[in-house]
Amino acid sequence: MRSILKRLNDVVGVKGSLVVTRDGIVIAAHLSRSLQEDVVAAMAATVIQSTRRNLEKHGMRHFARITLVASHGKMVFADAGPAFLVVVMDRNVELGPVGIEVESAAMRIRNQGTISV
Amino acid sequence: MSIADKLRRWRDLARLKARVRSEPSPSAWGEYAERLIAFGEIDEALAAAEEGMRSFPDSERLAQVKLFAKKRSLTGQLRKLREDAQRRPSPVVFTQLAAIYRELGSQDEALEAAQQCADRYPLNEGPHLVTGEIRLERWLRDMIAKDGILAEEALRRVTRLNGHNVRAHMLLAELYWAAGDVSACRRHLRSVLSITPAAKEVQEFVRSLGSAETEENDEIRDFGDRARAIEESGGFPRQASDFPSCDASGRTGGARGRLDVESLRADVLALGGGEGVRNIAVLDRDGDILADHTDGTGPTRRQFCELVTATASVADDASRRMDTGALVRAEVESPSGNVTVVRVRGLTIGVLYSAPLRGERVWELVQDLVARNSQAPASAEAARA
Repeated sequence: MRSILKRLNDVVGVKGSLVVTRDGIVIAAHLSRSLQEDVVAAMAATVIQSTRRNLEKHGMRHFARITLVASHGKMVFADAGPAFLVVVMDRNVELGPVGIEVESAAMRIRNQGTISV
Repeated sequence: MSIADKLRRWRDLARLKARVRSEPSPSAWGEYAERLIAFGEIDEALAAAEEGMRSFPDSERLAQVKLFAKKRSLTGQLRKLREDAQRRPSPVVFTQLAAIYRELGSQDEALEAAQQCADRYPLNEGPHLVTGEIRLERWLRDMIAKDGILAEEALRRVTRLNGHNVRAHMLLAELYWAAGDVSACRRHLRSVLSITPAAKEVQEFVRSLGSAETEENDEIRDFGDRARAIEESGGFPRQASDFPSCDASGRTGGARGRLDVESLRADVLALGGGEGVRNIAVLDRDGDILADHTDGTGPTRRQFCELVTATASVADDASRRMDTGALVRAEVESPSGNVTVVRVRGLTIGVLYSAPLRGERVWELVQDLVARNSQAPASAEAARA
């Protein structure tokens, strides 16, 4: 799984990625020096759980992907079957092409089958 | 190129230029700048993108044009400086590297270069000044307490390393001014005057401060507490634009005009009638509904507003915790429809939509909607004239 993340991190502008369960347990991570694994995992768990809860409360189905664009960075949370792929990016990254890479990485993680923690 | 082609090109550009003047919006500026790039007018495209970004700092289209134009001129320099940083590292190389990253809009890389420099050369003030400038710029834009605290820390370190650094004293004065700490602001401006006594603008500003009778937030002594209070309230006690050193780079978040709510409602209804749009809600800073629309197939009005508020809150909190600044846009893709939540000019706007609409298009429509309905002070004056 680390090789999938490493390949994803080679895309220009990607600062780091990790695979995390919805409870915030890190399965694999490949982050740049500026990112702390536990901070990213905790933040990811909050976003994933809160968004799922909000959607369910209003009769909507689970999300496939969340994209956050902030004034200095971007983050993508993609459903990867039993876990979620979280990608942290630069503000200047174009979401279109990187989005395809993220989808493809999420699909490969999904195809790896069950993740035991 | 034939004369007819040149004429066609000139007309095309003149039409687009007239549009950005009469109906400024991110898409109008973006189209104009992109057309200039297509015609090979890179410098003009850069100027147009920068001008557009002063009014619409969150426009991704304009940011991409700016990046494209800048990359062409700065790539060679960047490569050379990266090599120098490996082979012949020096504080000057790292500071220049950080400056180029800033030019390219990669603030994180600029901060990283400054940090590397600070680790290698702890007694050099340069990297702390770069960090202070970037953090101050972020704080004035997003009002995130952490940025303000880090800016103060870095700039104070500069003044400790070199008490004669005018720039650091000016930036600290600006920071305390925005935070409402007038006495600290005055202290740093006096330091500036002791180094450069002829600075007329500063002299006048200090004189105007001297006549101020009371200080806002005087009961709060600690800068961290002031910064946290500002983040909670969502506004500065004093505007940084009133400060003498404040440049016109749009770092205070672009021109904020009065919102025409009636016309906004009409526009929301029109947007709601578009193909793929199911719900729209425009909320003000307090979460009150300014305008909304539902086609009846999605959540109810109240449900959708709750969903938008909750999504914005979670996404903004995550962005702040990750040190990526304040939320600009969140996009939730689900089989039941996609939700875009946008924070722009103090408004929270949510749109529930499905195919054929796409996220990027919704983002552009929302920015245009806000631009059309908020009259900037300058254009309001022009309209009155």
